[in-house]
Amino acid sequence: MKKLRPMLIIIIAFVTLLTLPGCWSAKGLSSLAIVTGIGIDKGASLDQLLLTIQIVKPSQAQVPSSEGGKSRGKAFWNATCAGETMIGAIREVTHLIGKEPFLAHSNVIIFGNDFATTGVKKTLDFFLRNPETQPTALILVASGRAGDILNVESEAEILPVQNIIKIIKGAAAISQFKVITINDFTNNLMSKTTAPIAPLVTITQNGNRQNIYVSGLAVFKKDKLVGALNDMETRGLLWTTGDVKKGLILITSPEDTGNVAFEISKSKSKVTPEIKDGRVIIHIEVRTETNLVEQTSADKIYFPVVALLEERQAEVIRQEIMAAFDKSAELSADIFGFGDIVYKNFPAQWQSLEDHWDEVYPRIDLVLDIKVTMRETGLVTQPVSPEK
Amino acid sequence: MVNGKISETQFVMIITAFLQGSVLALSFNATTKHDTWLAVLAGFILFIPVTLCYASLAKRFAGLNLMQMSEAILGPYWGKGISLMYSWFFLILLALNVRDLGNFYTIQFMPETPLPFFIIVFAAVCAYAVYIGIEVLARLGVFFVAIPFIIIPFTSLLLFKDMSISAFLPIFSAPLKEFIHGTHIITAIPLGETIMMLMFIPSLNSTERITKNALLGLFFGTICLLAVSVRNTAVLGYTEYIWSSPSLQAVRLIDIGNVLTRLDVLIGIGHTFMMFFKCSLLYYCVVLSLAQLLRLKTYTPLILPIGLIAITLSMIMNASTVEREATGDAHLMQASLFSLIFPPVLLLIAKLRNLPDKRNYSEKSN
Amino acid sequence: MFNFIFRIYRYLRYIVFAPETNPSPVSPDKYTNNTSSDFKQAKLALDTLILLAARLQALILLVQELLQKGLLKCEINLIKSEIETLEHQLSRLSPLVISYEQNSTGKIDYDLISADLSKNLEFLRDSLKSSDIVIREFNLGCDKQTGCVLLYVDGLTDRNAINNTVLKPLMYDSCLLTKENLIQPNRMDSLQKNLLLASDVTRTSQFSDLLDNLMRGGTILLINGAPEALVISTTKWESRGVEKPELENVVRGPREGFSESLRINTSLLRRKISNPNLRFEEVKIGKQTKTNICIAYLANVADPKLIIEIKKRLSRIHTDAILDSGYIEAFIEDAPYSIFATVANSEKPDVVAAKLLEGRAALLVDGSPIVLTMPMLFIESFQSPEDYYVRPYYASTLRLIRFQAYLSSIFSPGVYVALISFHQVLIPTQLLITLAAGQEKVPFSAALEAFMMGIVFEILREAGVRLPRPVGSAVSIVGALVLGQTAVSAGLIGPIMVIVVAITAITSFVIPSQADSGIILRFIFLFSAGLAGGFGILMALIVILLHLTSLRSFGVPFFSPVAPFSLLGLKDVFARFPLWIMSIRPQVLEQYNSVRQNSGLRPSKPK
Repeated sequence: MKKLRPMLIIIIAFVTLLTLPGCWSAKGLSSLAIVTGIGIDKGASLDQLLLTIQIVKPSQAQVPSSEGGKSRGKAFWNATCAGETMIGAIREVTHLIGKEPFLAHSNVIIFGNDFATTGVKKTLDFFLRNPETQPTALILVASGRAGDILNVESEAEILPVQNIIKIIKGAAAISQFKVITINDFTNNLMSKTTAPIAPLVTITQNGNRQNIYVSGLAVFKKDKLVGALNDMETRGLLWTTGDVKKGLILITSPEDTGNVAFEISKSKSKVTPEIKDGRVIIHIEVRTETNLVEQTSADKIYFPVVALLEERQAEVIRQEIMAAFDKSAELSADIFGFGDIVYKNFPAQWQSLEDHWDEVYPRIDLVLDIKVTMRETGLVTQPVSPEK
Repeated sequence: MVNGKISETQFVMIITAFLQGSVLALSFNATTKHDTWLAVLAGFILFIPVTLCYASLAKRFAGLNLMQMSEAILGPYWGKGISLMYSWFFLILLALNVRDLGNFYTIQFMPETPLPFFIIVFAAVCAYAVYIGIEVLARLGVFFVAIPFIIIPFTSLLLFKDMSISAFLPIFSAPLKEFIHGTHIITAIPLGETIMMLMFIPSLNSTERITKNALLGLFFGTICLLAVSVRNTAVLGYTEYIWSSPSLQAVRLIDIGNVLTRLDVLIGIGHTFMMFFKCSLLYYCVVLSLAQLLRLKTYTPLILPIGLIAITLSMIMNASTVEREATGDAHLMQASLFSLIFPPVLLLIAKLRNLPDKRNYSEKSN
Repeated sequence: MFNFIFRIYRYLRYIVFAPETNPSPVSPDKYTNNTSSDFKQAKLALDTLILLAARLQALILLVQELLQKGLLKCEINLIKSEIETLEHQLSRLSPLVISYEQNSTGKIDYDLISADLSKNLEFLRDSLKSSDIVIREFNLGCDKQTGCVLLYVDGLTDRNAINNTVLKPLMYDSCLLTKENLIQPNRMDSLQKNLLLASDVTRTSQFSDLLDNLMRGGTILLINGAPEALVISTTKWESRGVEKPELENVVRGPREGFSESLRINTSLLRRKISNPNLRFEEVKIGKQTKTNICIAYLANVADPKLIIEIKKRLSRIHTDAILDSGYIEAFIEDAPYSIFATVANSEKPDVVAAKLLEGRAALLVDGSPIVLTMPMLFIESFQSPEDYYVRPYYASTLRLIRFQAYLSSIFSPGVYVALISFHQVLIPTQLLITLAAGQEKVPFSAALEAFMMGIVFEILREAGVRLPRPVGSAVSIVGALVLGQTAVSAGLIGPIMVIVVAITAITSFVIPSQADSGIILRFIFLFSAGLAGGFGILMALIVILLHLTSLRSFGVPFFSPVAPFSLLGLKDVFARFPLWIMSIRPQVLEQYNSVRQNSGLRPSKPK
């Protein structure tokens, strides 16, 4: 018996440990409501939030198995709940379905337009503090109400949220817009001067089908929505931050007989600040490589013509950047992050500039140095036209 | 009392693994923000002479551990007093670290599980490790060292595209006072805890090359700390200092082709292993030091009581994480007293009294 | 206790007596089978024992003295070396000791064979009452005066050999040779040397020996007037012969497997290692079964301390029966409470030969085709004999796949349960939706589901082993497909669970030698995952790792060369380096004769 004592002690201790409450964090999958997207709108009264949460119905959302052919119902449903804080609102969902909302896969956060104009910072805290939410979730701003966006079904995807993600990522891939995650947004918010941005999403009506498309880039100041950039301006922003990966540059041909389209294959940018006589000068250097993809004119492309083409492309880029800057100066929102760059390179002078950055910003001189290099011309070396 | 022998490589591995366990502690960088890596470097440089001091103490009193050393230097009464204080210090460290790990789990991964569960199970596993003996733990040293050395480069590689050098600018922008404070924290808390290496001296094969081994261990461990702080700063930029666990947050950003996502489990695994190693070593130090004070033949009967005390202490220590931050300063003072001030003082006294006296030196079987 | 006394012994001997030459070791064969010089041998043996006892006494006295004064450090070393040499001596005596103790009556049988044949016959008829024991009485000599008795066990002996080599010369030729005074019928030694045609004849004068050899297939010859018996070795019994091993199949490599007969097994080993240094030391263990156990080792390679340790552990076994090598393994292993085996086994002679060449020792048990080898390293379970016969890249890839298979066989159910129940965060969204869809219909929790499926799979496996062959394949297909498919559509388990169990099942067959520990590990991880998710798995993993590392197999750390880490030893762990690189034997096993081949043996192009 004496030899068994240590064994007995261990067993008893273990069993006692087991009697501590329940299985704690164990959640059966069927007791979870998987939330894939959250939309935040202004609630009925002031200070109230109206949340639209998209919850997946797993059995309908499955990738079709061999028993295909069944017509599926809607694979999701949108629950609306209201509350003073995010967490209060979300917990209300349990009144509706009796399942616990599981936020770990909420990949899209949409701010409604009216809500965004009142300031989004107070909701971001919830997303940062909660261990379930992922910092890689996308942030969008709706041009109307967020709830409507979440209701749009698409033909291609089972869940609207997946549709949204695909659209956004697709647009980012051809460098029309930038993908903004919670992390990026927060980074911008925490910096003193940078203005956060987020893609702007609109619904278009096409017969009786609704579609979503990204219509611009929303600009915030501190945390309030102040304006938006259109396509050209967005690209200007992307040129500066070096986020252009692919895309088109359209110019008119040198002999004005048509258009020439170039596909961007590579682009790099460098931003260098300089302070001279109390004025801030930003040098932006853009180096791009493009390929000729389409030519609607009949010009022959000779070597000396290339320089002209490149110059015209550089002009396009310059215009885009200036347009972006002008718009941001108009909104006096530092979307480029110039403030941070100045701070990082000239911390001493920054002290004096920091407080009235809003006035300094529109008066920044931009020195643009853009160089475009054309590389390939596709399979055809000359356009189709009879020899003269 | 202690049967196993530790070879020199294993000793280096022990110190390295111990320092890697402190990677969680890098969340105390609210003071130095994006200059934390500089603070780590400065801390390392400042700590080198302290390590040399430990090593020369070890060499001087070959084969004695910290308790016996203090008794030899200061005489029976003062020596025992210092030994008792060191036992207390190790116990506090153990409780702190166990609580850290428990908090790590309840915050990040499993919020609904009560904290005592994690602490009790974790302390039980550490108790088992101590029961088995230090030699077994030293054997596994290489395995534990390899884990962060695989995880950290792997995650850094995957995060490469999210890193930006500009996150480090402007260099050295923190005010000097904050910087010194940050360096002090690094020196006393992660690096200073290596004072526990002095408890293992009797188990070593030979103390000849202990200086080189200790410095080597320190070097490798600091490389790890440096790599982690550099990676976190580069990836997270401004927001680094608001997170309770920046490493976890940095790794959460990994999203390669939608396949390699949600890799924060790697950080969880790595932290658990390293904290386990660190806590086992600290546990071993507490138990061994008390056993020597009480003149016991083996330390086995003490394992369970010390475990219970440590569990209770870690649960009642801080009521919340905020309180933990607030008491950080007090812990800083205590840690620097024991790891930065006492050993050089002991060395000085030993030098002055010209100890150990080789004439009367005889090894008491204790 | 034994241990301690002899340790003190040796020290005393060193202090008190000048180191002297050890007496020549007493070999049991000479002792039990030789009559005329028997007495001298016995006296010699007795003298040795008395000397040892005297030394022991002196050692104890001296140590008592020293303890009162307080032992100084240098003398401890002397004591240690003293104890070692004494252990050496003891080991050489231990076969004798073991053989003596394995007696069915529990005490040493001193009955001597009397010269009177009728008395012997009476005693024998009393003690042997089996129907398969044949007692043949006949007469010897020309005038057929001398009565003789031949005893043998039918079924264990070769009748032809008995007829031709024993009976025929005794009954016919004894006449001729007696006439020419070449033999004296009363003298056993002359019969043995001049008359019998058999190749292995020994003399004995004790009944215990006689009965022993009779039961092993020897033929006993008793002659009226001679107080001795002749034991003629005429063993022949039905045995399975050398067949393909059931459990260890290889694609490339020899396909012989051990058989149940000890002699066949030793011959198989001899053919692999044609070296006089390959020593077999036989011992009989088991009070009732008196099974022959053979310790095999290479004398110039194996560590002598290992052999001493093995003999010591064997001598501690005082059991009734040894039916299989598993019995021996249970008695001599290092960690009886651990789930991991610390003694390796194999059914193939080339595997055992390779292990012997690395410095290990093997135990062959009569009646079992499984040979034990010790010391064992955990890594050995992942090494298959085929690895060394195929090319290194292929072997290394297979090795890595094996590791991965083992890990997935233990961790799969646990990790699945942990992910589903606790850490849904870690699963990609699309997969989570699919899993949730599958989980919706199942009434059980994931942990319970996994547990049930684990048990069902084990039942299937057990049943599959015992199925008669014609029914086997049909039932296994039924079991796998129908059970799985139907269970899913009935809503008892989720479809993903079936996949997880299938993966676990298939991968668990990749490492057959760890099958017994694998099952328990799997359930441990499953249980801890169900309890605490990822944290539970990690804690269980740490505990298992600690346990593994703390095990020692005959003095060698179980988990080397991973922990304690040895770079040189890693040549054969995760990848199989080419044979011309592995030029030293494993350091943990062999310190003395490390070099197994010259370096620089990489084949190169002809010049």
